[in-house]
Amino acid sequence: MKTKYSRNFVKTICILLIVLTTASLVRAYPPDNAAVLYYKAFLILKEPSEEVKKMMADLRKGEIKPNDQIRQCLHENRHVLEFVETAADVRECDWGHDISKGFDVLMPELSRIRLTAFMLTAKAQTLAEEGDHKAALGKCLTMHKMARHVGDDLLISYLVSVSLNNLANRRIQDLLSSMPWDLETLVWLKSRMIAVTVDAPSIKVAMTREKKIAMQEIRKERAADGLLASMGVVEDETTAAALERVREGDAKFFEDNREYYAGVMDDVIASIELPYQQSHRKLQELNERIQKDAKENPAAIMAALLMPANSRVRTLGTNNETFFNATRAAIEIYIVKARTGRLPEELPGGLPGDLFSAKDFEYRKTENGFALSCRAKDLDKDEVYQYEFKVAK
Amino acid sequence: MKPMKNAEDFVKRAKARVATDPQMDKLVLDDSFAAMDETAAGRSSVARMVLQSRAAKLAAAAVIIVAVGLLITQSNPPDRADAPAGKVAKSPAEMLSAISLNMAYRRGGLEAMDDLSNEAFKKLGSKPARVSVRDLLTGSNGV
Repeated sequence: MKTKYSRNFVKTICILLIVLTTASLVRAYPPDNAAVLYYKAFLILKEPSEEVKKMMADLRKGEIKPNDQIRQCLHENRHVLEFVETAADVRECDWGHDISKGFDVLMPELSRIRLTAFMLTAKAQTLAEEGDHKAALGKCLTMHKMARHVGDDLLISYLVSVSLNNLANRRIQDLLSSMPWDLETLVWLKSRMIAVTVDAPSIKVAMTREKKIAMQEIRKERAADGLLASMGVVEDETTAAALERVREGDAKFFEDNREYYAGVMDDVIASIELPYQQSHRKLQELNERIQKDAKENPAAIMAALLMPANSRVRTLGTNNETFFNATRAAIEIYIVKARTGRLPEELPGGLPGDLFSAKDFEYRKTENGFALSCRAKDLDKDEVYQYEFKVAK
Repeated sequence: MKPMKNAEDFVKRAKARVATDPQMDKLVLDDSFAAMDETAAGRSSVARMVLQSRAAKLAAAAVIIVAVGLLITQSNPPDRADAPAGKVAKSPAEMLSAISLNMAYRRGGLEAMDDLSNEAFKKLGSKPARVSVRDLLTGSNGV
């Protein structure tokens, strides 16, 4: 009895070992790094002509309908879109950036991913035209997932990510305004919208990485190597004296500048997390302080020359997240409409709100549907945003 | 009779009867050196005459100017001559670095970044729309 038990035990162990060793040899698809598939897609991407690019831009603005040339371009790039959609569903994405190269790190993926997002937008519009609204919404969700993959390695990648979110939100807004009420599709979309918020790029992470890289760059060798010119600092009467100090700067000058820059960036990162109105005011104050310090304190010169337009970046991020929240709130309102047959009189509770004011959106019914308005201004443009949604008759 | 044969016969027949002595040798050598000196002096005077000529000086100056011009052209090839002073043309890869993309963004937003990237990709060359294993096999084996 005991021997039989031992034999069975040994057999089981052997089978488990065989299964485990063979399983490791099987290559799963898709790979666990989305970047592999994105790069594969970019390799076979057929660049649309300038004429077709212009047509796709006009299509996004709603000035034209999908035409044969756009359809041809999408057909020629169908494998590209297939790879991109598979990639977007993979959780991890490592682009293989060599951050040790500082601002010289190569980021060829940024514009390619924008181009493929433009194609996905056109694809969504052609699918909607053909009546497949769910598939069209799926393309928009793919764009949101791509935005998550573009990430927050640097400020420029964060900005590209924001632009992809914006593209997707705008398209979802249009689709919701034109599609028939389909409760199942709306509930499906609601759950997917919540899912894409996971691992969303963070402005704080982008700023922290930007600081780390800029700290490596504030060195005499890099300044002599044309760092400031490469960063777009133009020598004119306002910058001439500062640039001269940088050119003449010794090791101590750069050490002091690094220390000053680190201190200011820590304040910027702390301010980024404050509510929008407070954050914007604080970031502008910091910017003014740096400019003032740079006139009296040589240690502030590099910060004054290299500091990004932080308050503008904060506004772009807030605008993007607020638009996303408005879209999610609108989906909830469409669900009420699909369930009850009419629009709610008031905004349903517990919905994501306006991040400009940190309050709920102002909801009102309009002739064609409804509108969600912010309760505070974009402080850069001095403008209050309103998101209009139509209800298909 | 052939000239070569004549010379050989002459040496064979006459060489034994030639009488030489140191005085004669000295006389012959002196005459030879005098003739060589005269030739060398003549050449020197021709060179001097050439260098002293105004036309020759102008020609020499022209040669020097042309040589300097050629040297400058070689060190600055024509395709770089159009680049603004102080700026070096970037390679497509450099155009796609974070620093270049940042600069483009600062200049004209994401559209400027797209334009810069498109320019870089154009320089890199176009890519096929579709490459399958079958296409690659057809390309390499002619199947």
